[in-house]
Amino acid sequence: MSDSSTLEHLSLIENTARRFLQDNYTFADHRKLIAEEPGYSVNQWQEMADLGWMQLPIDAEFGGLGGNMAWVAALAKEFGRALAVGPYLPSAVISAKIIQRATGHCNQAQLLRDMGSGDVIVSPALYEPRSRYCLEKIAVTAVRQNGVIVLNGTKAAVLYAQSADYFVVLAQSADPTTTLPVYWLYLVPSDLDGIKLTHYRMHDGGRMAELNLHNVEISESHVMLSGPKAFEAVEYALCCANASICAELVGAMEATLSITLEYVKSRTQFGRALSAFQSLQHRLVDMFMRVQLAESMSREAVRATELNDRVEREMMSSAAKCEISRAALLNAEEAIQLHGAMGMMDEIPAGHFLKRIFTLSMLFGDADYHQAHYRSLRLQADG
Amino acid sequence: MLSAPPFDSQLEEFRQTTRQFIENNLPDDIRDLVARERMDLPREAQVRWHRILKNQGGWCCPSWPKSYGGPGWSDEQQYIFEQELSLNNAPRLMIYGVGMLGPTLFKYGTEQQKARYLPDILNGNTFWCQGFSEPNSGSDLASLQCRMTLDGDEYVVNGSKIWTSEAHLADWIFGLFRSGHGERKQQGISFLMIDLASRGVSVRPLKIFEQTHEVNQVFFDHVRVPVENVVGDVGQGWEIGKYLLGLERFGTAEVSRTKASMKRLTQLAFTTAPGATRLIDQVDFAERYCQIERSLHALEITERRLLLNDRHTDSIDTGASMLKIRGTEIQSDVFRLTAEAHAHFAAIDLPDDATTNAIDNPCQPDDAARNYFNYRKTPIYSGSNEIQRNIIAKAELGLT
Repeated sequence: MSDSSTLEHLSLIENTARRFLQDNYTFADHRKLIAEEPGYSVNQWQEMADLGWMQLPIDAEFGGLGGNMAWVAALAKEFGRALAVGPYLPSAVISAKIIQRATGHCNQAQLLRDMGSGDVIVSPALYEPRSRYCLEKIAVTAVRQNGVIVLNGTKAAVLYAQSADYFVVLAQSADPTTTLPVYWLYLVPSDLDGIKLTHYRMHDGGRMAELNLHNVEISESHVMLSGPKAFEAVEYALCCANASICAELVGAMEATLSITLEYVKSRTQFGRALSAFQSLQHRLVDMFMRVQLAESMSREAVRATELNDRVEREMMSSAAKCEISRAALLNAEEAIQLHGAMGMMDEIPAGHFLKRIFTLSMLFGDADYHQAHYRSLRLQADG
Repeated sequence: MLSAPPFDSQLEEFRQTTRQFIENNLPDDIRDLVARERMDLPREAQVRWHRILKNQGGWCCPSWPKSYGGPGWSDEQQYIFEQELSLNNAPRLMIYGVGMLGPTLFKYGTEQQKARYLPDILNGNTFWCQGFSEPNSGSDLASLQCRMTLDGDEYVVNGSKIWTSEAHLADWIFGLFRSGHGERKQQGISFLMIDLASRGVSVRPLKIFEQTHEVNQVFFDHVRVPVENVVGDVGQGWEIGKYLLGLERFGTAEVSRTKASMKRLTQLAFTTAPGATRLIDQVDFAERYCQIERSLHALEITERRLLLNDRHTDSIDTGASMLKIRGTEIQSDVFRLTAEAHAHFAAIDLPDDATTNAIDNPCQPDDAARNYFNYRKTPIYSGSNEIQRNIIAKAELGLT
């Protein structure tokens, strides 16, 4: 179903990314980089931009490489294999996909060019402390007064906030007497007065923050989208995020299986290799099958981004995230178990894959969220 | 509903053509039996449908090239045709003659064997069954003992085969027999075709616990078989057997059969009985239903990926083993959930010939539980799922 030039591009991206990460992002590099701020190598970020990676998710009309999520997924899969972390997902994928749909006066074209060249990093500020994964009840308010827009409230789970030059903030208009639409997306410079960030490290070495907005003043030039279009843009960007995360999870699953196979073949107990024990063989086969099925679903997560029908698109995307994150977690747990006590050691990658997989599975909707989302959409579809 | 990506327009047109033909030509009585998930179709019904397909240009033998009377279809066309058969409740193709022996004779048969046996399979005149397992050789197939001894220009066969599906309907049996002893137990096995009407053959029915008769034990007591009934060389049986089992590529996962079963469950789940809540509105049921739907979709995409080589790198040698394991697991889940969907009515054991039923729904409750019981066989047959895991462990993961 994929034509040959697409396949060539895919293997080109895959090979380039794998070589680059093998040379520049070993397990030792990973542990070193996540221990220091900002949690990734700024030089490497620039090198990745020079390779065109930041332009992959951006449409050609904005100077990008076309926005094909299959290519982004091919890259993300290599990130997953290498345990590589950084602001790629929040900035190059999610923010870029939202900004592409902007209709306001936020200087969209220039911004996308700067993001594509790696000079500007943008992080989405969508969720809120009490909303879990729900984006329908937004408490951050935007009030127009004296010719400016004033933002107040708190955003949660903002990835790589300290590296961000801008935030994409989802807010609601507070004035009940106006006829203005409810949802608003603003592009908010990160250095404005009234912005306070509380930084956290994530278990996989990634960075997350809480973003507090206290009387932050912005202007019309910061408006990106309003009304249902704002919500649609966010939903679509998160569908793309899902495709990327699913591929990253599959990459991590492949690597987890391969280190585990290597281990059971080399470790001897009771006079034979662990790999000779049938009960362990069958568990490894189950791991292998889960990788294969996850790979299939990860391609469906990519295909979802190309579907026009909203229900179909959201169902497929949620099905993929739900199935893959459960399978990936199970495989990571099995990998540790099959390594025995060695699996608990910080110095070997098995546990780090569990941390990465767990973290990815919790971001932008965990398995239960996507399961429930799938079910509610399924009930809307015909029997 | 999740749906797999469409094929190109030419293939989708082919799908429409075959669907239309099946809808217009499948006899109602046969459709009903298949829609009730019966695998034990009477021979007469199987042959009747086989001949309808035959007259359509050899559609009864989808994998056969034109030179042998088949339609000469591509892999994609065969895949789509089997999907349409399943989704429209047409019977499974005659697996032993059409799916297995035919292609085996294309590759290993002599010109005389092809001329003698293939036309009768194509025309639905001869009904075949397969003899692999023995009372003491199940998963360890290579330990088989049913022996063939040369006596003049005939072999004399002694021993028995077991779990032989449809032996009670069949005219002929093909299978693996012990012709000698080599260093490895895989050596000294030959592939032989035997006329079940021969003197010394007897077939004993074996009843499944849910009361259907599908399998048998076949006894061979000094059965004389002409030497020309050996396929390939004497001692080449293990290789031929492996080839033949590998032919079941599209079959054993039964993805589209399970999709058809899911369609029936869907009808049940989304229909409101008077005064009741729809099943799908009960969260626990809905979660299990949706879980199966997602698993089945993942398997369908995997089947497409591995069998039709969506990307050339995707092909893996043990794809069929993996599909068989997951396919039968999911199929079992569907039948169990369908049975449970009937609440206490699932417990009713109606006689087989009962025609009326108090509960009006697309799947009779007594069928539902019976099907659940009956389909426990699928993870066991055709190489148990444990054997399939051994195959993957060795061939795919290098675990020894």
